[in-house]
Amino acid sequence: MQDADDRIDKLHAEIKKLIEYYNSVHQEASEVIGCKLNLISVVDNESVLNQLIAECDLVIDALENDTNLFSVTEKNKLDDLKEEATSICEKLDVHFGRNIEESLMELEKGHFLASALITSRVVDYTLTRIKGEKIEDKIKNLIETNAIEEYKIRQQQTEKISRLTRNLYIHRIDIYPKSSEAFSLLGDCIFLLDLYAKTVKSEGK
Amino acid sequence: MDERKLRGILNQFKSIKERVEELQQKAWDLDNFRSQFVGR
Repeated sequence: MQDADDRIDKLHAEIKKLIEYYNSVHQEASEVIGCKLNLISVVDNESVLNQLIAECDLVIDALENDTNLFSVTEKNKLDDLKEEATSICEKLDVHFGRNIEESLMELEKGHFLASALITSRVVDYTLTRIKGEKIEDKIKNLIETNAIEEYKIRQQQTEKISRLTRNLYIHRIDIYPKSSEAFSLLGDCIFLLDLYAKTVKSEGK
Repeated sequence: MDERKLRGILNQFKSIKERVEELQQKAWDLDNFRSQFVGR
């Protein structure tokens, strides 16, 4: 019993110390995220821990969506995507490029849902422009027009295109893309546009 | 705003949140211990 009481006292002391630490840094974080964080009083109350988590989530959500916080890898990937998109979209109707540009702009601002939705409409539109009634026929058409022989590459590309057709962001309102998912969708979309551009060229459209 | 500073603040609040979750777990374990051996 004495042991349990000691552990409770120790726990209270640890909670108090953590709240004091939070209170000492909350002001600066409020200024950075532009939203007032609450000062938490050191009281013996179960809800203080939940309150602390809510305040931390405010800071984490605000800063994780800040474009300045893209990692070096993501920044490099974004630059590569821009370059690749520009060269592929030059071969297509001007609206492909405009939509991809808008999607990239939203991605840069950290608006991942907006970016994914714009990308999705490019994917949907492109898929409707590819010959074939069923999706399997469209994939076959794309792969054959691009003269892809190697089985492993065919498999990888088929998987990528199939993933695009299952695009959930435009059909489900309970799914929100993370930065990596918006990046990945845009990368796959540019890959699809590349295959489509070659198909258009080979068909002499 | 300096990127390193923003990352610093983000990591600071991620650490606070992790620590809160550890303390919640400790409180939960203690509560179970008390109800099992001491009664309420």
